[in-house]
Amino acid sequence: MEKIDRREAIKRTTMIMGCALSGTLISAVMSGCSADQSTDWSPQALNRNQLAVAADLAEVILPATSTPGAKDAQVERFIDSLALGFLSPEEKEFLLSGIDHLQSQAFTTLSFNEQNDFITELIADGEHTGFFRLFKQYTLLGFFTSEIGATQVLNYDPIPGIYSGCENLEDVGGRTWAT
Amino acid sequence: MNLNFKSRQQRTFDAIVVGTGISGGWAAKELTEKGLKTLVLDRGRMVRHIDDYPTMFKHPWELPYGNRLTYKERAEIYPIQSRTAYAVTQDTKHFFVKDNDNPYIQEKPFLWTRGYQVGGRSLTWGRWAYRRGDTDFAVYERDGIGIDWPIRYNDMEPWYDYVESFIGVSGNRDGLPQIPDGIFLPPWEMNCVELHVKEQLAMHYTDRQLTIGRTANLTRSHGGRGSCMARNLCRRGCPYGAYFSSNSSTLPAAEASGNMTLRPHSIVHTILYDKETRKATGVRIIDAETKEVIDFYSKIVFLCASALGSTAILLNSVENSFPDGIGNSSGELGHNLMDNHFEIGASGVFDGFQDRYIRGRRPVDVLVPQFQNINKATERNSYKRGFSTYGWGGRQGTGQGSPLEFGAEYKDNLSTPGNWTMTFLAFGECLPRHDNRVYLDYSNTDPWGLPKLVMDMQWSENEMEMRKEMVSSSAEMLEVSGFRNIRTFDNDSPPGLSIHEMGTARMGHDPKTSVLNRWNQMHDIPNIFVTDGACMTSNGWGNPSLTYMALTARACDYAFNELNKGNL
Repeated sequence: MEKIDRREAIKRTTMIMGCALSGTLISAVMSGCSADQSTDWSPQALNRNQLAVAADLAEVILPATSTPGAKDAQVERFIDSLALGFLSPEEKEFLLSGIDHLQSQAFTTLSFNEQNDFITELIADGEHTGFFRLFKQYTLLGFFTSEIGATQVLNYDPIPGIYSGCENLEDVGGRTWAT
Repeated sequence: MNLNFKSRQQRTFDAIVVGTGISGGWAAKELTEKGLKTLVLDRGRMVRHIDDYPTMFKHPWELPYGNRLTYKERAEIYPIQSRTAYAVTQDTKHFFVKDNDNPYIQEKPFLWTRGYQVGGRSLTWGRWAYRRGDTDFAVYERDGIGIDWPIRYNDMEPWYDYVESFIGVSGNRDGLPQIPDGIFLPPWEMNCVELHVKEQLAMHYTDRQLTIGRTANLTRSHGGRGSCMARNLCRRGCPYGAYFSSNSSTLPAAEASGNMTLRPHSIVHTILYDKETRKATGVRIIDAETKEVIDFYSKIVFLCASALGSTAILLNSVENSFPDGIGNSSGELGHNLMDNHFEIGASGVFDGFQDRYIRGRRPVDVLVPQFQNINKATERNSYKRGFSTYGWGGRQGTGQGSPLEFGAEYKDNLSTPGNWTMTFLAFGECLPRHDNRVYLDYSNTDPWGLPKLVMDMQWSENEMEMRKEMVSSSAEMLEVSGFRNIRTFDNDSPPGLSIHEMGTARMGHDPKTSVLNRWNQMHDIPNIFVTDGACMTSNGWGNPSLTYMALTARACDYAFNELNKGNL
């Protein structure tokens, strides 16, 4: 992921929050006056509401079970990075309008089970199936290439050392290889 | 030309090698080790082994966008090479040219994949390393298509031995004339489903068999390079030096000789030619960074700039004696362009081995070597020449399930491997045809003022006929092996896609129909040698690199001896 420095991150956050800060105030924020200080990350392509929808929808697709889920892997941040620097303008528009549709239906105010039912109906309805497929594709990409997804949900071995073509599944961890 | 650069004496060498890829690295090694002071030119930047492999240890989460090219990169920067689906990804893109900065003209579709840097495409090649037998070298005797190779397997065998011993090739001795056995490191092993298919093919067919691929990945340490760690991240550059590249192998050897002067950022403009002696005297380059024009001199010139790169240099070297490109009295320079056609085959699902899985990522696949038109008994009526079929087996991963599934059960299913599958992908030979060619458009120049190369190539009826059996045999081999859900595919496979472009300065007996003789030496100009893919007389079914290496080493030996005899 491309890194931006903390000063730039804070500047962008405050822009999104609707107020432009002077240089002095940025220093103040950096020294600890910001509501967002728990993290030096903030979305750059999605707004806060869209980010919340993306996080919830990704979690519905790949929820925490006995292993971590999409929120644990912060898939919404991956989605934000795609919207910022990866997608075509048309794809980005398509993705955000789908997210906005869920937001207009107060998706994030629903319980997890209600969100599940909502998505089941959304797919059955057909109108937003294209959006779901696209969002799901990127959720899987982001989740299974994340450190949590690759190492805790799948099995990741950066340096196998050997190739062995026919082992007992249990002897090699019982899980799908991440790469 | 900059007269202040250095004295002519300082710009004079025994030999000049143009290009540092598979062939150029070998020419550099061989000529310098024989004691020749050699200038080695590459048009791109320096890439040092290990030091310049910035992504070699990156984890998936350390690469942006799941390692995929962005929309902008696909649309604007790599619009051609991103179509090849081969290797241009976030972790490797620095080893491929930017299409938009390196224009050429597609009179007909031709996807050209290039790596302009020291090491060239040897950094990113597929590493499959196959000898060609007389099924290829003597093919003209059987079908009379094109022209005859001026060499036979007997001429090549010691040189295949020589290059294999140096680079390290893992493989199995299969005893098949179409893929002659060599000097091998231990082979990689097949997985459960591949072994099953191998057994089934042995039961159902007498004409074909499944073999493990032969690859320039070291299954044990060799020649000071480390053993492969089964990461299958070769194209990023290998921290262990466990696959053959110029950077890991031949260029360090050339460097160690003390006789190499390596000059990156050097775009060869033309061959310098002396009408009196009828020999080349050196090359003129453009410095890619400063645009300075500099002449370098030598007794012999080895062109190893890749098939189309070398041919473009020759075509651009126009002299009164050679108005159509230097050494082109035959009129064949730029013609007989060939490439393998592929993107065709079948895949299927296998029920069984549910309690079995693999460990590690094998850097090679399996192969059904050519079983058509290799002798009288295997002659086909509808087409000439043939194909080989690559295959790979494995268990489904996170792509399992339908596109609309989601939720807890779905997610947990993905973390357990799915069914075993097997895919066959066939690569076919293309016939040499005079009409398939490249030429220069002088009205249309590139950023360095050089005329753009124009690609004018299309498949013939023969390739199309061959494709019918490529797809049907792929499906049939899965069927007899007990697979279900067999799906065939036959995708667009425009010329250039397989990155085996070759043949635009072919070897032959006769100066009237060929550009090079049996020593890769120009018929017209004895001190120019072309030892990359440009020299190829026939296409074969694929994987030409080992042959380029052997031809290069052989030509270097010949050139050195001729030089000592005073013949060059």
